[in-house]
Amino acid sequence: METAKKDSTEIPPENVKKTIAIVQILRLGDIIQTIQTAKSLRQEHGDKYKLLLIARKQFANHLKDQIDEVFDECITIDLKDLVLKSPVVNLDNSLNNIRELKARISTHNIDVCVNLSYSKTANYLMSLITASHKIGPYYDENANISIKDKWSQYLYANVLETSLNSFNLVDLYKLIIGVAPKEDEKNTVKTGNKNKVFIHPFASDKKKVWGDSKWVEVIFKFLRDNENKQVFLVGSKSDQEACKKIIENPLLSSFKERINDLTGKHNITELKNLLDDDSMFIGHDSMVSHLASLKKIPIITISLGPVRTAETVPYVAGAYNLSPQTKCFPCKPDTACDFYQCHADIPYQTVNEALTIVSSGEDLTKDSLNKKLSHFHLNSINIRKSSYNSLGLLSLESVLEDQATYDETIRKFFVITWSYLFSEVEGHNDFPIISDKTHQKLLIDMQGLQQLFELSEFGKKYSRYILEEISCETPNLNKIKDYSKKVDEIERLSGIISETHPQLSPVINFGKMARANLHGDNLVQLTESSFYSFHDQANATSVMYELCEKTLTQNQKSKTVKPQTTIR
Amino acid sequence: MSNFATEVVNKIEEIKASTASGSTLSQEDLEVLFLASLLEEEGHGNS
Repeated sequence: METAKKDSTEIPPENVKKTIAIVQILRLGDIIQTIQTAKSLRQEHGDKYKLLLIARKQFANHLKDQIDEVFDECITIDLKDLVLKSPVVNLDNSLNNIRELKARISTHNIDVCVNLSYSKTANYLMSLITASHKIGPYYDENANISIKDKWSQYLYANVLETSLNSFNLVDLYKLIIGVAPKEDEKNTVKTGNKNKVFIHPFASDKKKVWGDSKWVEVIFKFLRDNENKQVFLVGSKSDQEACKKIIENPLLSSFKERINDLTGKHNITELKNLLDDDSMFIGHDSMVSHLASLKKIPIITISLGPVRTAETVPYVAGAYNLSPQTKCFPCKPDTACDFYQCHADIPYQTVNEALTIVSSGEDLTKDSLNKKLSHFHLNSINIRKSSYNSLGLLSLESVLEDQATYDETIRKFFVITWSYLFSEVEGHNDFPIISDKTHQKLLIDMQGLQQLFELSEFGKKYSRYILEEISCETPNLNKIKDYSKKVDEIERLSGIISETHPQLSPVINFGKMARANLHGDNLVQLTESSFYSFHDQANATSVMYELCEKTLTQNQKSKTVKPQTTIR
Repeated sequence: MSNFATEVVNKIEEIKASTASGSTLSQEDLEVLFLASLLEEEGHGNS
């Protein structure tokens, strides 16, 4: 006993690291964004946690070096392994392979498992993983999607469902995991004269990509005006045909020596290494733009079709994004389109000028663009630059306009509201400078917010009535049913507000999502949870209302005086 | 349809019928649904 006691004081018990597993079974770009999130976690907590990534084999294998830099281990999933590995292909053998996979994951004794994939398969996988805590969506035993944390509820309710999400996906992932948003001064583009321009004029969806003739024009004009510079076309093997079409265009025949076709020739690590200090990137929303952000080289992305710029812009300060002002932009991935107006609304002359300016190491400004471009080249396009805002979140600020558009104003308000509501983070933000048209629209929004606030208060009231009835000595079941009907009626009326004020749908969607995922195992706990979800909804509408009100007041004041005040 | 696909489809039909009658999903059911979802994704070129 004596010896044992002595030993236990001499050798302190080793702290067992907690294991955090992240499920990211989407594509390459999503994995890079997950790596950036994990890096932030490492910056904040060092090696305190063991980090495990669960990803698809066909994507994770390409990013092995980048994954190994930050994760302790990566478990890969592959359909072929699960189905074809056994000598006989049948359901039993496949299920046995899935059980083997589960057992392999279980050996890590996962404390927290986080689902960052927006996918049904990932939700099922989450339900198969044993973990002390689960964050993000998973299927419960009743085949319902269960999401308990607020940021994942927000993501699930609003990303892709509305075009009013202003959070970059990396910031959303950080908030889901619990990493406090913070400006990272090192995560900034290194500007300067760049002689190598890497172009990725391809994307997974036709709606996201310009036709090859527009890229030919950009490359032609750029090489003609910049004699010392070279372009490198990058992409996968499947992009080689499209690349050939660009390179073999007669317009480019005299520049062949300065055009390099790298499609299908390098793996991702090799490509990353090619992006050196003399390089910059231009292209559509794709994995390569995220790879460029890891190297902090100057970046210009062109967003088209269903691309949500704020969500997917490469996660680095100082990157430029060009997007059309087309009314239907961004559309939904499944929206049919024959006209591609958003493609036409970005003139190649503007892209070329932006490319020339950025590759020469200058900042893109309204003045620098106006030197060579006319009003017609700039009136159908948004040019934005990424920077950290006062909340420590990456945001996009307009290069061309001082005045914020209506959408930008509303998005800014939502960022402040959600950050305050879910993470109690407050920043100091300048009041947006708004047009008279935006002023009028905000006034209409305030009516909707007022109606929504009142509905939320009714929701709280009827949830409280249910609780009071339950706590009676002899609860009246009929009364409880009546109050529940009232709560259902409130949901229906919220839906009507969502139709008449679609810009308020993020609040309504979140409220619905929260009430579809109430906490608790009995009627009392569920009703309490319902009460709190209406309470959150009321708070969100109240913060939004106040932001509208103060901005409108400031706008009125600024018409006579012009001081710059901040929102607190 | 291959034997394997038929097996998966039949199993999903069984799961549907059992959940419709109020039963909860077992771990095996979730394994089948995970497999089916993975097959569906790769079939749609989302891989």
